[in-house]
Amino acid sequence: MARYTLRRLIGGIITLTVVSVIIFWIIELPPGDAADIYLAKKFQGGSVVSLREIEAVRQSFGLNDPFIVRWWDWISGIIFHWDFGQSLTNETPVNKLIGDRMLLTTIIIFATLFLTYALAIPIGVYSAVRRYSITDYTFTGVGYIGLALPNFLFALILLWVSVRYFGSSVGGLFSPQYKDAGWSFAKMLDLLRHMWVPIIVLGTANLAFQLQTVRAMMLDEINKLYVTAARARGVPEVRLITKYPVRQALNPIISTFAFDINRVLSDAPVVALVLALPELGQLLILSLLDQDTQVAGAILFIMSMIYVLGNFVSDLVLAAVDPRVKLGG
Amino acid sequence: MKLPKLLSRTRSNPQKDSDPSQLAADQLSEATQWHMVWVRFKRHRLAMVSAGILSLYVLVVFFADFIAPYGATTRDTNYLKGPPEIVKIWDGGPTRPHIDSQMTTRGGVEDGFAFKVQGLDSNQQIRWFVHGKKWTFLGLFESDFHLFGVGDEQIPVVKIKAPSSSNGIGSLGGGNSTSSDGTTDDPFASIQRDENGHFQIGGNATTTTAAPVTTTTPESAPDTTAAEPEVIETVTAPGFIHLLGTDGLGRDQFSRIMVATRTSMTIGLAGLFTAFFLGLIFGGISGFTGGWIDYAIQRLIEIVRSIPTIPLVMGLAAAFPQDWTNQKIFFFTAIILGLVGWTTLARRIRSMLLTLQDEDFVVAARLAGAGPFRIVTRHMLPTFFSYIVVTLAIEFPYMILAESVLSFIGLGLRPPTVSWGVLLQDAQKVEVLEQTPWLLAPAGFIVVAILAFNFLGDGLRDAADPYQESS
Repeated sequence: MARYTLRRLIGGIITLTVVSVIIFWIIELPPGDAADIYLAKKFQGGSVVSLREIEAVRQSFGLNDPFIVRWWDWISGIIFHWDFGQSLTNETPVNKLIGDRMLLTTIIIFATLFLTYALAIPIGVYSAVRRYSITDYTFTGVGYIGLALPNFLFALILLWVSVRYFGSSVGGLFSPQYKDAGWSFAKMLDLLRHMWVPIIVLGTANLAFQLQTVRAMMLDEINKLYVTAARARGVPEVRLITKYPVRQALNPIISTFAFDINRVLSDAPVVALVLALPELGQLLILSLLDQDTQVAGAILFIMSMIYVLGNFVSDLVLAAVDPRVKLGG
Repeated sequence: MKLPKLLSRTRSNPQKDSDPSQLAADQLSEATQWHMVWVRFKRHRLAMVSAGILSLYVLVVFFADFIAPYGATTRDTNYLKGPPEIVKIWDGGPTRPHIDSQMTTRGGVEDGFAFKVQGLDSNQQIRWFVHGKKWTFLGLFESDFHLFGVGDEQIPVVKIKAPSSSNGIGSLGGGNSTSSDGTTDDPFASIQRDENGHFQIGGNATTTTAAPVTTTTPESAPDTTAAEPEVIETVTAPGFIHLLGTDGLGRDQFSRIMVATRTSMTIGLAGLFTAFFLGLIFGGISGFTGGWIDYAIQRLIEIVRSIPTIPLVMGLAAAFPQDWTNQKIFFFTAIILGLVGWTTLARRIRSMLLTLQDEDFVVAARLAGAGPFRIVTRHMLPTFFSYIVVTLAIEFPYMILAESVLSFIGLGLRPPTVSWGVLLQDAQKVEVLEQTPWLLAPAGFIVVAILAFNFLGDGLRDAADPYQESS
């Protein structure tokens, strides 16, 4: 197990390293660099900027160094000090802009996934056991729509319904009085009251997908000989289902755990923009629209970190549940 | 191609007709692969319906300008933020399809300057094949015919000066500047003439009266108004038909969606082919060579996949310089979609190649001295071509979705180019949704397209391997 863990850990670190290079490349992709923006601001302020000065600023920002050195400056700040540098458009550290958005994003992801699994597993199992029943058809149908309805459209429609029929917007994560308050129990409760909308929006597609997976896996397993053998031995039906095929059907859920994180992370920004959620994805879009790639790059990297970490955890859990995985490496 | 021959053969063999299932089985055993796929696909009813719907989309892609009654930027200044107009075929008795003529006027301050619909007494008949804006078909020929429209009929629109007693309108009416084609201007409100020649006042004339004037009957209208409105002019304006309403500039939503469908579908297709091209190269090399190259490509795919897809697309699209033309943005958006989306295809192609590697016919080809390129293109590709089609059908919705998201948040295509995402951009704000919910209509087109592609993909997947017994 230790060997396996170590291998996965090293694999994750290598992945993150390459990812950081790609993201740093994206940061530097737009035309113009930090020195240009800095000097453009100074120029607007009325001061005259000479070519020599531009060169000096560029030198002091380390923009004349080779790519790999600039990358190392960036990544070492993150590794050793958790410092993502300065925002390009407003002179604040990226860390300050991110604030507790990372925490909120993490909460949203895990709440969404938890709800997804809590619903998908029992419903999927039920659909498979009572195949072609009305319940099965209903959930399969709802699942198809859930898969086809893009998240941001779902959010827009919910927003419209809430404004049109309930007279209040469902946007935001906090009531006004808690917006800038520190974390407290009351704030936590307020968050829970607001969070169900993004969770439903983000969870639907994932729920539909996992529902289909569980149902298909169950259908595969339920007719196998070992199930029939157990039934012949007189094992009660409920115990029979939960003890044998369900255990098998859970494997794909564990192995796609990181994939699910990725999907939620991928969908969350636009939903957050529509619903005005103060989380990472919303800041990502706002900073991209603002051409502030320093902030955007930091967020992209944090998202990748969350994904890689999730992947690592799911690998470990899978190995613990299904010992065959360990041998496969 | 083989079907007619089969039919004639079975006809000359009357004893076989006795058992229809046997007949079908015999036909299938002699059918070509594509015929078998088709027979199998036809059984999937949802997929058939989806294929029908998608062929409508394809028609729109080619003939958007013809189907749309107006251009994407044509403005109807008398119908700003107008709701969808309903086609009526019953008016006391069956009539030709027509719509009731309507116009919109901006409400007063107490309505938040929201637009109100006013019925005009005339109605307009819907005609087929009317003349309209000129369009060209792929640069091949030019025409000004449109599938439907209301012809050149003029509808009466009356302009009046706001009642003099309504003080304060001059300042409050600032929101009234609809900047139409010289017909609506700040201190004026639009009204409509009824059959008795009375004027019904709409717009901000209601600011001074306690009772909303717009609800008064035509007979009582002159009595309740404090001051007789002063007629500026009576004009006639060209009639329009807006099946899906109009936006804040009076542009026909239906026409815009038609043009947007063309843009979104083509950009999705371009992205898909970029992804397919990259997937074929990387997946092909990876699956065929194996060894460390295979290992490196697989790790690369894993790494690309560990950055969340849509944020990655957004990050790349944000690098587009502001001064790029829309054609350039279109082209590079497609490339980005391909750059991010190739991994799934590469994996599929690799795994197909790997499973085929040890098949007898491949080994035979190798032993016969065929080179790797010939083995892949002549022997392996035809075997899994149908699977590639399936994969492409499944991937396509992701492409159009990614483009919509990108344009929706303002990082993709920009107006005046219209795509589904660009159209939805207008519907981002809560206030807009509240006043003009029909601006959400493009969402319906996206959802239907994605659903149809999902079902089509399912049907194709079942049909792709016609030798396997259906479950």
